[in-house]
Amino acid sequence: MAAQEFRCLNCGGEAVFDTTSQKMKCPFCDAEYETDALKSYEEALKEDTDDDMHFEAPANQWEENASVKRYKCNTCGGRIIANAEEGVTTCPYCDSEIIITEQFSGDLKPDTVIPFKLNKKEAIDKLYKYFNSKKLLPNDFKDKRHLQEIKGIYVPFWLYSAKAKGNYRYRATRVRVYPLGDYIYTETSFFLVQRGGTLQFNNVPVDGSEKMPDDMMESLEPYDLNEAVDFNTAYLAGFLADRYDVESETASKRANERIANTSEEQFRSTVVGYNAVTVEHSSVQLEESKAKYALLPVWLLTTKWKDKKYVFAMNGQTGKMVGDLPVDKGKYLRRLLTFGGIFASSVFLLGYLLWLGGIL
Amino acid sequence: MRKLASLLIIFILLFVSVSASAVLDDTDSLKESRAELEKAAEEFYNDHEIGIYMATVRYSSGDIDYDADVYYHKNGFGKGEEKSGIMLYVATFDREYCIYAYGKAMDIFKPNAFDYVEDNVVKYLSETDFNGAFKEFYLSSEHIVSLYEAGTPYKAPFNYVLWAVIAVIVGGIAGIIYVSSLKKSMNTVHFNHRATRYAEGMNVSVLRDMFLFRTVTRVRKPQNNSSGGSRSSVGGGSFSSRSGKF
Repeated sequence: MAAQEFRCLNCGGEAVFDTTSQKMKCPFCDAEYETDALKSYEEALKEDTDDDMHFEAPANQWEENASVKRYKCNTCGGRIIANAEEGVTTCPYCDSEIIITEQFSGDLKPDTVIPFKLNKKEAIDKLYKYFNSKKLLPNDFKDKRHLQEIKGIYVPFWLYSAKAKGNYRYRATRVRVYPLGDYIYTETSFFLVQRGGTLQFNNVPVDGSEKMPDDMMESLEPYDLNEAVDFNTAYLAGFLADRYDVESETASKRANERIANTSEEQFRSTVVGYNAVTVEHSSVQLEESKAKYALLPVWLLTTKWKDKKYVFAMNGQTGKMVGDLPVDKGKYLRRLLTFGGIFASSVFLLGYLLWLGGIL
Repeated sequence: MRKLASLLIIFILLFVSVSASAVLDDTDSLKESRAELEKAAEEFYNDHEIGIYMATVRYSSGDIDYDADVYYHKNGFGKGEEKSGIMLYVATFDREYCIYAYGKAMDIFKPNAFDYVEDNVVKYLSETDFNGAFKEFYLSSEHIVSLYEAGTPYKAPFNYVLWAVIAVIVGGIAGIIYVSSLKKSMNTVHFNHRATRYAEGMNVSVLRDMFLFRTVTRVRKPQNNSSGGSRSSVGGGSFSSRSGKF
């Protein structure tokens, strides 16, 4: 299988995608290239033919299976084995970054990509500041050295758009209480309420990777899709990337759930003026539905602390950070006792002052 | 004629002495101390401008505060224009008591003063020592009124233990709420069950609200069964009281 890396046309060094300038850049001679320029160069390379000198294959050839695939590094010719979904990998012989173009071509070609806006240094700085703001975080967890292990990954997503047609029926009550003579009267009026209409949904994201925790990927939202561009393998240089391994049909179930919940909530908000409302019937039909395949940027840090794995993610476009952090029990108790002690002393002093003032 | 006049005078004096008595003991529970209590009541009136009254009856109607109020005004209790006075009214057979204040006495006997008198008197009533209870009633009332007239109204001692317990509980709850909010900010991963930010252009084409039917229920208003506090008096204005069982 063919793999691809981007060579600087000036000095031959490996060019990577620069998040600041949004262009391909050579870290050795600082030459910058528009992504289209390198794309044209790629196409020219495709016209080259390979030598065709082969022998009959011996028995017991290595057979590719569904979970791993074999590639050849164009720089040193080394044979690389990678997972079936991996789109970007590193040659173990010459350390070159290799973009496996087959993972992103034909039916597997993403419709769109949001390039990384935050580079590694910015991501590490933001993460470090975030960790420092957490008062219960263990001090050794904030060690800057292990933050260097952060990786930039393009995560495959499905983006769903549709017009949702909702139909809802509610039972609602209105209550009036009034005194009359020796009694208190409660008057309850019952209503049948119907709501229906349409609601347009655009680009509802659902992650298409089994490896990525779904709740973590949903926590990273929102992405600004106005900054999405047509897919080009050049954007992947310098980062890791996987192609999808969750089919669109499977992922659409989650999109349907989110769309149905929102539709119900929006129409329910139009039922006003009642003391209680219960849903008797709800249905949603999707029209003009379509799905797009996109790669979205994520900075990912996986770390182990006291034999437990912690995963931390950052939206590579907006810088939003999510993750479950460990709690230092000692800090937890100290803060509890300090704050509780100060509050208790204040309450005691307040009681004494109220007694002195004759209020208590 | 002379005999008739004498009888009339005796009757009038009797009436006056009955209505002027500060101790009315229908159940003969105060035989031992009646004279002493009468004298104490007279001294109390001479020293202060409110009356002190002590009464025993057999039964309560179920609302002893109301009974005490009726009894106070029926027997013409109270001194001065405002009919000011303080009374201990005990239904001995039903084992109920009421400490009653009217007129200016309401300004002197605030809730903490009632607490003080009640705590001292109930100790004796619990042991059915009516003589001791009424003596204690006089002494406690004397103490409260004297403090008031000296410009230092009675103030219950500061309950250090109670306030320490309250402070620890409230401080503990506040501390737990604080560290829980810090801990919650450590876990930011959650499913997003909505797609609200991806929705636009809502068009409501069906909007129908249809009345079906109505039900009406009623409950009787609750009665006022207070065990103390301020209430309207049969003699006009209001009275304050503290009552209970022993």
